[in-house]
Amino acid sequence: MATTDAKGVLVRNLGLYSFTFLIALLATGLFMVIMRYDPWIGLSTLMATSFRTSFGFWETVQKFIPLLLTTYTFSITYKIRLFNIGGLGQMQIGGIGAMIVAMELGHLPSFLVIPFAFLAAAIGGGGYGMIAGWIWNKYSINPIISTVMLRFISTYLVLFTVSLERYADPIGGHPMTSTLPAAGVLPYWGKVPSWILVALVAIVFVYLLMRRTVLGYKIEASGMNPNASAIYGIRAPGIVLASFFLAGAMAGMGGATQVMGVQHRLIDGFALTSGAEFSTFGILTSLVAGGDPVAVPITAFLMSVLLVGADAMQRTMNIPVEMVFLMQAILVLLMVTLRGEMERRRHP
Amino acid sequence: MESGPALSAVKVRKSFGSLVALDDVDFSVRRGEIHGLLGENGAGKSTLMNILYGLYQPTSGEIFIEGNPVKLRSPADSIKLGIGMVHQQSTLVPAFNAVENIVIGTDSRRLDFEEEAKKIQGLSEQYGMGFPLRTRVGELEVGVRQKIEIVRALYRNAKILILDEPTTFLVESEFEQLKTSLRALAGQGLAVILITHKIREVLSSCTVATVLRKGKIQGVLAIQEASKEKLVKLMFLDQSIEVTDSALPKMEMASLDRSEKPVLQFLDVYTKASDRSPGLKGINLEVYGGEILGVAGVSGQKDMAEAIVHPENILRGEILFKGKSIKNFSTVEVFEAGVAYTPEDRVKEAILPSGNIVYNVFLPHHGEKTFRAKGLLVDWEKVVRVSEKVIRDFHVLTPGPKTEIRRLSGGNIQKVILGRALFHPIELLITHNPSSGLDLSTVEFIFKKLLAIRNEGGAVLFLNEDLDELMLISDRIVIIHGGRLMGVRNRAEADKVEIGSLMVEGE
Repeated sequence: MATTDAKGVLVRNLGLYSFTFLIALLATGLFMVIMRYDPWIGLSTLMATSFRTSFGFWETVQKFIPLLLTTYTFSITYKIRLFNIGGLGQMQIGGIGAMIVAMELGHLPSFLVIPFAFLAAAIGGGGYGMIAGWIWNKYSINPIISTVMLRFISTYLVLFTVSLERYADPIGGHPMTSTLPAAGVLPYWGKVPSWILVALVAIVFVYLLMRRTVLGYKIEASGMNPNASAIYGIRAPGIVLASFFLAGAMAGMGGATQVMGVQHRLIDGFALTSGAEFSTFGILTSLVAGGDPVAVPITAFLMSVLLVGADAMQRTMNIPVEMVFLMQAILVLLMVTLRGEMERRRHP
Repeated sequence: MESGPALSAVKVRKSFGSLVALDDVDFSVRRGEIHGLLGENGAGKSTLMNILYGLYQPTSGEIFIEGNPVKLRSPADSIKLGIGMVHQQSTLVPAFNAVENIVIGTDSRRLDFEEEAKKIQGLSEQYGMGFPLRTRVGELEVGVRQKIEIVRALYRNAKILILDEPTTFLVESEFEQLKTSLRALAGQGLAVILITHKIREVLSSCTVATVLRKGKIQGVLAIQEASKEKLVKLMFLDQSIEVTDSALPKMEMASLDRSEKPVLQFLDVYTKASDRSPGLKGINLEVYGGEILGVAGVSGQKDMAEAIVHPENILRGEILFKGKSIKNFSTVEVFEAGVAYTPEDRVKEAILPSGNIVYNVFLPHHGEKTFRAKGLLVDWEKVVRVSEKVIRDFHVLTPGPKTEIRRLSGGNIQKVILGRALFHPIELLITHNPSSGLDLSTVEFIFKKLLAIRNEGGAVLFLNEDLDELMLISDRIVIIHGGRLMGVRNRAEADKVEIGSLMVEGE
């Protein structure tokens, strides 16, 4: 259900994406020159590492999965014009939930443990997200504030959980639990991380939700005009809670993939990648994609390519990984301003 | 000095893209004149005034004040040159009193409020427009607020005063007072421009009339040579619609026996008050099938609509729809039972501006099972089919159903809102100011649809601020004031002045 003429939008968007990407690339190259690095090697490392080796490619996919989920986390609540910048917290609670289920039910076969762990992660993350929604409904405290505050609480909850005697790794030099039982570990199929399935299901789910279901329509309508929506029976408080639950559930499942697939334990800082939180990159990705359900997966993959490239730049050329922040920031600023400008021209 | 016009626009043209809103317009007004600028909605009146007030820049053409060419780049320029504007909607700050509102925006740091209050008092006495200086403006009646707006313009040394549809929210008695004030202003040498679409007002209060139609000047007449017939002809040249003297389409209303049983009953209904409305305070009322029940009033109309559509707002009493209490109904269930609602403010209350027509058609029906494909999935193909039918049946001008609704004109938006309400049979339509700001043929189209519902045995609850419109198509009119019913009048016995005073003062 496209909101406007689909072909025109596609052409316009392709043009917009290529243009901003080119500018961001040029600017990044320029900064490399200023910092006395070779821009050709730098940029080609940034862009091509994901595609040079199959290791690079699957590494990219591994970053893509939680990035995609946290991008949805921001996008879904952004539909109702609320800024959920606490994806980190929802991801952490999801990770805690997955770890506890995997530890406690580890004696059961994995086809039971894994779905339960994801369920716990989704409910945990979703429930944690709903707290911000509830505070907004009840006290009009903006989620920008409440979600950030909730991140502090969840960060300490992770530290608390990993130091519980029941789970803690006594010889770990870093705050973390001992390894999960085998039944709670997500397998690789050859080089393919099996939890790619979670990403694929999420893509289909969000697409159907937003384009085909009544709930998706209500979220969209409430975002477009909460006043008119309320008059016709779409109550904003309910929509806020539902959106924050869905958003949090996405982040929570992202946390579960890290715990069960990548680290095989709950570890302090598990929700970080390439120098920042997945959820922060998720916000940037969502802003670049404009929250469009079709554009989100593609953009999230491109962002993962940049993240893997940035890691490689740091390893091989000593270019700080933060260079990728610079590029992404330029991308976001350009996209947001250009999109605003296009919108302004179409509706003077 | 006597001869020259105070303000004139010469060959002023304004185009928005391919649309020409003003087509080489010549317009001038002299001191001492009350100059009616007459035209139906969309004729270009507002565009011309926005140019004179510095909000729009003309594409070509020139503007002269006292014979000197001027460039009006912003309202500040216009105010400096002595042009004052009184907008249709109040621009006063409700929490400020009259003095504060008048002084605001001038260099108020150095002002002595006591001194200014005296000056303001003097101005208002000079032109016979008394109002309380120290009462918060939010507590004053609309007519009083308008006087404050006029004095605000005078305080800024306005020599040319533009009033944009000043009577929209006035009742008859307030209009009489406004006329007196305008005569005083013109008598003391101001040039007054009255923008309106009502012929009657021009004939009763202006000295000169300029008629605009489709961006072109159709004629300038001294009021002595103007007549209703002449003005109608100039305003609606090529339209075959018959027009009343309030510039509304004439409507045929066959007398009809309304049904025995009421479709809707209010039984001693109380609703919550808010800071914007009094709430309902014990309303008893029946609406029958086969009638249009007009509701007149300055406040409380919206509360009536909201009580039906959002029964959770009812504090005490009961509303029966087809004899059944709707107390425990959700909004969606009220709609499903056969009620449709078109709210007052099209853009803020009725549509999703950035959504397409299909999205908007679905809005009141999102809870209905007929639009479900499987379980929770929306049958968008069906919604698209219905949207296409609405576009066809209601003559909506649009490239297609996937067009963003905010790109349509006000009239076409209203047709979508009405069309989506009526595409399946309903028993009660609640409609609030459905024709505001629309051109004559659209108004006629909408009124005909309302009459059709009535003629087929449906009930229409017609909430309207405009008494002329209410009296045109209502079978009965009830007057609401401060959340209470002030009276019921049958069509035959309805008297405009009496209803107007009930609306303002109560009984």
